[in-house]
Amino acid sequence: MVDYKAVMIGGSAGSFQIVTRIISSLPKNYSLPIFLCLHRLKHVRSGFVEALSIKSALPIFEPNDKDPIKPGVIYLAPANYHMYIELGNKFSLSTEEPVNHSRPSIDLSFMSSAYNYKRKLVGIILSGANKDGAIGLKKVKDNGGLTIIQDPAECQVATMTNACLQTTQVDHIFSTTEIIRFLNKIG
Amino acid sequence: MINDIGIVDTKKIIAAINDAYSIDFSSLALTAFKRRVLKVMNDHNYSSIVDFIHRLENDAQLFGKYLSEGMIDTTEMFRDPSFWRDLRDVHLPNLFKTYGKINVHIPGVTSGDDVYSFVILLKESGFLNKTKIIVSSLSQLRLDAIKNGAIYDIRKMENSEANHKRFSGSFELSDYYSIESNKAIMNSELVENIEFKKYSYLQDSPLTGQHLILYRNKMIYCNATLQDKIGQKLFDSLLTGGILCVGSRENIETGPFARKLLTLNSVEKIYKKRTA
Repeated sequence: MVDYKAVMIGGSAGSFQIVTRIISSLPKNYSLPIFLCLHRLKHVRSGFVEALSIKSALPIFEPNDKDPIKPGVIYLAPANYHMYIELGNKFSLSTEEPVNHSRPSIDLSFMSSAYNYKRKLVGIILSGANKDGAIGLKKVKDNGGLTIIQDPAECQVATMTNACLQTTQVDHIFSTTEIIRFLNKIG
Repeated sequence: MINDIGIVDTKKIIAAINDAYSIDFSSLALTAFKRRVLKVMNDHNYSSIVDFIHRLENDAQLFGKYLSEGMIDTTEMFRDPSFWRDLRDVHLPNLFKTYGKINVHIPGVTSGDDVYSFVILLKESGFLNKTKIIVSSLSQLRLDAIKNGAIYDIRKMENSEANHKRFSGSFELSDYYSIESNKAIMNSELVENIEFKKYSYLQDSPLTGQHLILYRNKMIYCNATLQDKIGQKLFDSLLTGGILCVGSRENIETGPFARKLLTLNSVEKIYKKRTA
């Protein structure tokens, strides 16, 4: 079994409850960093972390630029910035143009983390109403990482996961329960 | 179309620019820098790094154009309206009360969003004639564009309008621009008293004597070492009692001069120089 170093999760419409279920299932001593890139309202900067934190045993932060990445921490891409993972295990934020009408863009977060972690990355795409994330998940696969999508049959909106199926030979189609079981096994 | 550039090619491009123009990009944050290079190369249909470097090295005018095009200019006016409100309602009045007139430096401009946001704020608050502003950039093309009314894509103005509404409540952003063939052109009278200056924080000496520096979402494009260097220059150019504003997710609280700063607003990242 691969010794994974990080988990990147992307989601949009219909993903909030799934993310909440996933992070509430992780134990306090979880050993990997988890990155969440979720589409959100750009002008609402506060409240999201707080809402997610209620259910989580792990600390959740929106990183500042150049913050170091720590294991056992959940990081949420801040509103109105792209979130990159840089070589040297640091975050970088960016105000470059929205991609797929989104800032943060799931594609960009996935691409930079795929480049940084190569085969040690797990990329997971959840429910969502646009195709942001499909190219990013492909990059994860191209770099040797593990690719998972939430079962489109279970997604509230399956546009995003279906776009992934069209561009990438994904490794697993998992239900939320299976995603939870898998994440608990690797970290 | 090129999809990715490797680290070796990126370093070649950086070295070529440094050799030809003495502009050192080696300490920029890598992911964003690579994306900018890719954008310029793809916009101009380059398929070979060697060609691209050759053209860059041998055509200064073209380099100036690419430098301008590569700059990240995709923020909006009044980004983070609560920042601008706090500046207007609390910190600027304090500065004017203490000093009467103030000097402001807005470095590293690209689109001029913060420049126009700031002068509109000053105008709406009646502070415009008490403020001496320097706007600086590495790119002369960008400075000229802002001076002449910074032409914005009309789609971007929707965001800016919404931000301005959250900021102001009493004025309309559309009072400050006109529309020509789907572009918004800012009223350049707003910036007619501004000094525009081609300027590099790394090479040129600090523009000292500033009461306020607006440097929001610029340092995110540098690596940590360069951030400290630039941070120090910003700090040096501020008067004691002067105010430094950075982007809401930028971190200067770990920099070498951090203990000489007082945090005025930890969410909006507004700091005051308290020790010379």
